[in-house]
Amino acid sequence: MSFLSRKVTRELADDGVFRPQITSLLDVMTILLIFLIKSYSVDSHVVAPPPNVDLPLSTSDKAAQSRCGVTITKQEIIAGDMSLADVAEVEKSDSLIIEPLYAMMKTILPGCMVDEKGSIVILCDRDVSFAVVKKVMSTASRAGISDFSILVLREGD
Amino acid sequence: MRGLSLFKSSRPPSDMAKADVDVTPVMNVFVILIPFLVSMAVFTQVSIIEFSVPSDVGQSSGQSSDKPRLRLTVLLTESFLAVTEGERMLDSLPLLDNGQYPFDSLKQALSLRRPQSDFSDEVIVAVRDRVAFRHVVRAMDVSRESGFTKIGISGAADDPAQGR
Repeated sequence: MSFLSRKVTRELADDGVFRPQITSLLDVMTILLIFLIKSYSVDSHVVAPPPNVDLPLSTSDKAAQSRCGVTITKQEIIAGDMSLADVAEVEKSDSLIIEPLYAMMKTILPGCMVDEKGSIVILCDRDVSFAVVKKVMSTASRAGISDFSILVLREGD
Repeated sequence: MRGLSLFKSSRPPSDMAKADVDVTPVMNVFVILIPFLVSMAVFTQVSIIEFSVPSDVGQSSGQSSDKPRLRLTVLLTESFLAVTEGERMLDSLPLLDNGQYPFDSLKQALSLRRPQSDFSDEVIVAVRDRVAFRHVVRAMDVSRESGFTKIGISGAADDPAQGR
């Protein structure tokens, strides 16, 4: 009797029904399930990076927290789920204040208070010039934001 | 003989030996649950860098009458890096031959200058307008790796003659 036929015979129950051994598969799935539930629960409250933004890499390991966010893509500045300004126009502008962003920041400011201080996280594309970031920071600061943080991708992940 | 009989009695009956747990429903749940969790999971690890805006930027501009205290400043331009303290330039680091910023040299310079500074835990990263944001983040990383815990960001004037 060949090895294959012996194995099949062993897995046939007395009633002739084929019952594959799925114990090891069950073990793998249990471990996988625990891992996925653990990672799901950890990351569920974290600000997720938008798909159209290439965040800069950093060695920082400070955990991200859910805060008010201002997103700067290569094309536009977004806050409160609304596109507020064009990056190219902001870059050319001489003013340090981005008026539509300022109006939006004043609107959403009560929701941005952390420990009685305005706090935002900036999600900025890695290739955007600093001039745009500076104007966003200046506008937010004028609106009453005092704590700033940058969302980055952890290097090596 | 007695021992042998005890050993025999500890064996499960032949009916129990054939008992088989039906794990098919559990497998069904797993097969549904695991693809769902995989699709929802976020595998990209994100973190944040906290920083402050120097007091001469934004709303508090011009409100302080105190003479500003000098902190180490990392000047980031399109063509060079520099470590300054007030008006005094301490180190100037040109771009490498491959066009990259010399962040390793910056780290050494900051580590050297930090103990001599009045504010050994504070540094300001001053950046010119056309520098890409990824270089700003890298400069902040290097500053933190050099031992500075409080990092500020400010703009740097393109024309030094017009002031910093």
